[in-house]
Amino acid sequence: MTLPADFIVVSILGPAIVMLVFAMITLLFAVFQVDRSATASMALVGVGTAAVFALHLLMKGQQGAAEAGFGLRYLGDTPATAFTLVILLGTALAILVSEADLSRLGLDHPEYYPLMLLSATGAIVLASAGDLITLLLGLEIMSLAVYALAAWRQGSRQSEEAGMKYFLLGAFASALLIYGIALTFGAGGRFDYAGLAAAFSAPGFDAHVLALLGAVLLLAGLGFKVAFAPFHQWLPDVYTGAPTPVTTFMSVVVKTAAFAALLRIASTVFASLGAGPLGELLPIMLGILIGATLIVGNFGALLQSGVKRMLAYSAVAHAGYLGLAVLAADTVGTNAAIFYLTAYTLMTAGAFAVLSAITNADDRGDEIERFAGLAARRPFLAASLAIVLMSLAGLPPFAGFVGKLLVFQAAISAGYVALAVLGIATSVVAVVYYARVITYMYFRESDQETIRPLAPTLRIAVVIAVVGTIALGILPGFWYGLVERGQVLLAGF
Amino acid sequence: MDPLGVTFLKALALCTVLLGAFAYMTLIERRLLGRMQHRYGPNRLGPFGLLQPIADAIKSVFKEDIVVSAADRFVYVLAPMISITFALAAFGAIPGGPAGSLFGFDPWIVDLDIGLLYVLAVTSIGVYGIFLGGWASNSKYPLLGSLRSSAQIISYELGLGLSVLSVIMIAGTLNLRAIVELNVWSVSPWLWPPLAVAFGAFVISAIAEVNRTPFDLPEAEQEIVAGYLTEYSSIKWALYQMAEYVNMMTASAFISTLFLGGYKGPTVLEPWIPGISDWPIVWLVAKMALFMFLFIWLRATLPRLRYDQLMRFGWVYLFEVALAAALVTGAVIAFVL
Amino acid sequence: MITFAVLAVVMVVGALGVVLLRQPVHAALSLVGTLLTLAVVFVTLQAHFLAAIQVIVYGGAIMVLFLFVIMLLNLKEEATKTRAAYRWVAYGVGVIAAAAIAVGALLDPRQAPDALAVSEALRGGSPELIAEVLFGEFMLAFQLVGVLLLTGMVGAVALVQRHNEPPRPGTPLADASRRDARGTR
Repeated sequence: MTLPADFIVVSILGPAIVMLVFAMITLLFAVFQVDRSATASMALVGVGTAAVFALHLLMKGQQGAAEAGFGLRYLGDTPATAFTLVILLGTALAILVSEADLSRLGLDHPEYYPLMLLSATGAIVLASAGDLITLLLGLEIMSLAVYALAAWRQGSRQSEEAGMKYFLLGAFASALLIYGIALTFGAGGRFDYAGLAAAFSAPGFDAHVLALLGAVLLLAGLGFKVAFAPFHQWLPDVYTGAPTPVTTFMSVVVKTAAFAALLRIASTVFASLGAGPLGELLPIMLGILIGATLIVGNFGALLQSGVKRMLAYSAVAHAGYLGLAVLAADTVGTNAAIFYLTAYTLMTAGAFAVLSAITNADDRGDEIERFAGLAARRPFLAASLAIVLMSLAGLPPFAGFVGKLLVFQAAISAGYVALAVLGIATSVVAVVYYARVITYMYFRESDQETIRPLAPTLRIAVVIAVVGTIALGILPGFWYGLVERGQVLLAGF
Repeated sequence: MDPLGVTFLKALALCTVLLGAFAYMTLIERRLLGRMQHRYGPNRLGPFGLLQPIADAIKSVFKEDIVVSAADRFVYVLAPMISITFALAAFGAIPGGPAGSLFGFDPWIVDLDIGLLYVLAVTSIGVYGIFLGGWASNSKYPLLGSLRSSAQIISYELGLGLSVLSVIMIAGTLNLRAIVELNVWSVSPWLWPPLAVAFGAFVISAIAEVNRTPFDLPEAEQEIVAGYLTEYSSIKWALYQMAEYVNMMTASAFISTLFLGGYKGPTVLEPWIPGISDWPIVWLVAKMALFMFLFIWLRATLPRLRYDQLMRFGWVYLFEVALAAALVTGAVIAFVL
Repeated sequence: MITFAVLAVVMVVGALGVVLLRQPVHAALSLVGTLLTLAVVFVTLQAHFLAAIQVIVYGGAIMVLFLFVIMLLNLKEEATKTRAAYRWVAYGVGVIAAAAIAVGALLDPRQAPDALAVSEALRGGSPELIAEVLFGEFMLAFQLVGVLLLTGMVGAVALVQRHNEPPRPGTPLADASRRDARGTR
C-alpha cells in the first residue's frame, strides 16, 4: 500500500510535539531531582514554545493555508489551533497556580509537571483530532494523566475518592465512547469525520438506526467529559476533592478540549445525520441534555455553601451554555464556543487562583464566611475575584458577557430560541450565587485572621486572568475577529 | 496438508509420546540428580530402575483424590486440566521434520503461518492452571504460590517476547518451519552478537516460564510447603507434574526450533549418509535432550532466587538486555545489511 | 454461520457471567472465556494473527494481571454486594440499551459481506496486512498509543511510589535508590 505524498504533515503536529518534548524534559528533571520551581519554569517555557507554533498555524489559517495531515485525521485549521491556544493558556495558568501552591499543600512530587504537560498534549490532540481513533487516544492521554493528578493528595479521603470516582466514571464514559465509535464505524465504514459525514449523507445510505445509536453513544461518552447533566454527577465531588491547582487545570483544559472535540463531531458527523429520516432526534436529545444542564448547574450552584463546590456547579452550568454552541453545529457556533472558552478559561482559572490563595493547606476552608470582609483585608484579591465572578455571571463589560451573547446569538440563528431563552433566564439565577460571594467580600464585617502573603506566581496568574477578562470584554473583536477570519476544514455538511 | 484423520492420529500419538516421555523424564531426572549429588537415585525396580515410573503412576492413581472441602470446587478441578491441556496443545505447532518426511506424512500437527505466536499464546494460557489451582485451594501457601507464579510469568514474558523479536526480525516470518529452514545464524555474522544475547535471554526466560529451578518460586518447598501444589493429591497432582514436564519439553523444542535449527541435522554428515540432516524427529529430539539435561543440571547446581531478586533480575537486567538485543538486531538489519 | 452462532451464544453467556457471577474470580474467568471465544471467532474469520495477539495480550497478560489483583485483594462475596434498588435500575437501563442496540443492528438493511470475500481480503490473516494499516494509514494513532502508555506509566508510578515515604524494599526503584544513597551511582 502506498500513502499519498502529503500524508505526513509534521508542521500541524508542532504544538503537540513541543509539549511532548517538554514533558520528557521535565520527566528527566524529575529523575535527576531538579529543583521544582526550575521544573515549573521549564514547563512554562514548553507551553510558550508550543504557543509560538500554534500561533504560526493560526496565522496560516488567516491566510487560508490551513493544513490537515494523515488523511484528514489531524487538523491544523483555525478552530483546532485556536482551541490549542486556549488549552495552552489554561495550562500556563494552572502551572502558575501550581508553582505557587504545591509546596504549601505538600504535593510537589516530581511527576506533577510531566503529567500536566502530557495531559495538555492529549488535550491538544483531542482538539485537533479529525477522526474517532485520534479523538479517543487524545481523550485517554488527557484523562489518564488527570486521573492521577486528581488523586494527587494521598492519604486524603476526599482526594483519593475524587481520583477514584473520576477514574471509574471516566473509564465508563470511555467504554460508552468506544462502543459509539464501533457502531459509528459499523454504520459508516470509516473513522475520519470527513469520510463518515460523506458516507452518512450519501444518497444510498440506509443504516440510519445504527448511525443514530453510534451518535448517541458518542454524545454520551463526550457528555461525561464536558459534564452535561445527567452525566455531571462526578464533577462536583471531583472538583472539590482534587487539590485546587489540579481543579484549575481540569476545569479549564479538560473542558476546552472535550468541547473542541464535541463541536467538531457535531458540525460534521452529527450534522450529516441531520438530513436523514431520524435526523431530528439527535438535536432533540442534545437539547434536553442542555436544558437539564442549565437548570441543574445553576440551581445546584445556588444551593452550595462552599465556594469551591459552587464553582464546580457553575462549571456544569457553563457546559450548558457551551452546549448551545454545540447545538448550533456550524462555524458560527464553533467560533462562539472558542471565544466563550477563552473567556471561561481566564475567569475560571482566576477564580480558582484566588480560591487557592485563601483556602487551607488541606484544601478545606472554602466556606463563604471565609470571604467576609476580604475587601478590607486583601483588596487586590477581592477586586480580582469580584471581576472574574461578575464575568462568570455574564455581566458587561467583561468577557463572560460577550461570550454568552455570542452563544445565544448562535443558538437563536440556528433556530433554538426556547433554549436560548432558558439560558438567559438561568443566567439571572447565576447572578444571584456569584453576587453572594461578592456581597460577603464587600459588605460583611471581617472576623477572620489575616491571610498569608500572596505568592508571586499566583499574583501573575490572577493578573493575567483579570486583565484578560477585562480586555476580552472591552475589545472582543480582536480575538473573535481573528477566529472569524480563519479557515475551517471539514465544514459544510 | 494431511487428511484430517491422519492429523488426529498424529495428535494422539504426540500426546502419548509426550506423556510417556514425561514418565521417563522423572526417572532420568532423579537418576541424574542422584549422580550429580553422589548418590544412587531410584535403581531398584527393573534394570536401572526402569520400572520406577510405572510404579509411580500406579501409586498416584490409587492414592486418595482429596478435594479440599473449603476449595472452590469447580475451579479446583478445572485448574489441573487447563495446565495439561494447554501444555500438550502447545507442542502441536512445532515441526519435527521437513514436509512429507514422516512416511509420506508431515511430521507436525498443525502448520500455522503464525506458529511462533501460537506457541507463545497457548503457553501463556497454561499459566492459568497454576494460579487458579493455587487460588481455588483456598489456603494461604497455595495462594502465595499462585501470586508468585502470576507475577513471575508476567515479568518474564517480557524477556521472552523481546528475545523472540530478534529472531522474528531476522527471519521476517512467524512460521516456525520457515524459521528452521532459514537458520537465523546463517544470515550475517553481524547478527551473531545480538542473536547470542537473545538466545541467552530466551533460555533464561523460558526456564522462568516453566517454573524450574532457580525460578521455581511458585512451589518453593522450603518456604511455602509446595506452593500451588500443596492441596493437590493423586491424579490431579500428577496432571500438574505432567504439565510441568511437557512444558519443559515444549520449551526445549521451541528453543531448538528458534535458535538451533530445529529438526535440521548437521550437514557435515551428508557426504557419508545422504539425507541424514533431513531425518525427521531424530535431530529435534537430540536437541531437546540437550536442553532437558540443562534444566536438570541447573536444578542440581543453582540455589533458588529470592523473590525480590527474581523480580529485579527480570525487570532490571533481563528485560533491558533483551530489549538491547532487539534494538541492535533492528539497527543491524536497517543499517548494515 | 452455525459456528458463528454457537460462538456468539458462548460469548454472550460469558459476558453475562462477568456481570452476574458474585465471586470476582469467577467473573474474571468468565471474561477470560469470553475473550478466548472472541479469539476463536477471529480464527473462523481467518484472522490468525489477530487471534494469537488476542490470546497473548488479553488472555496471557491483561487477565492474568486482573486475577492477580483480585487474588491479592482476596475479595469475598460479602464485600461485593451492591444495593438492590440500584441494581434493578441498572439492569433495566442495561436491558433497554441492549435492546436498542439489537434493534439497531437488526434494522440495518445491509447484507453481511460474503465470508469468502472477507477471507480473501484478509489474505489468510497475514500480519503484513495489519502492519500496512497500522504503520501506514494509522501511523499517527500508533504513535499516540505510545504517548498514552507513557502517560499511564508515569501516572501509576507517581501514585504508587511516593518519594516522601521510604520505598519498600524489593522493588527495583527501592534498590536503585538504596544504591544512590550509598553514593555508588
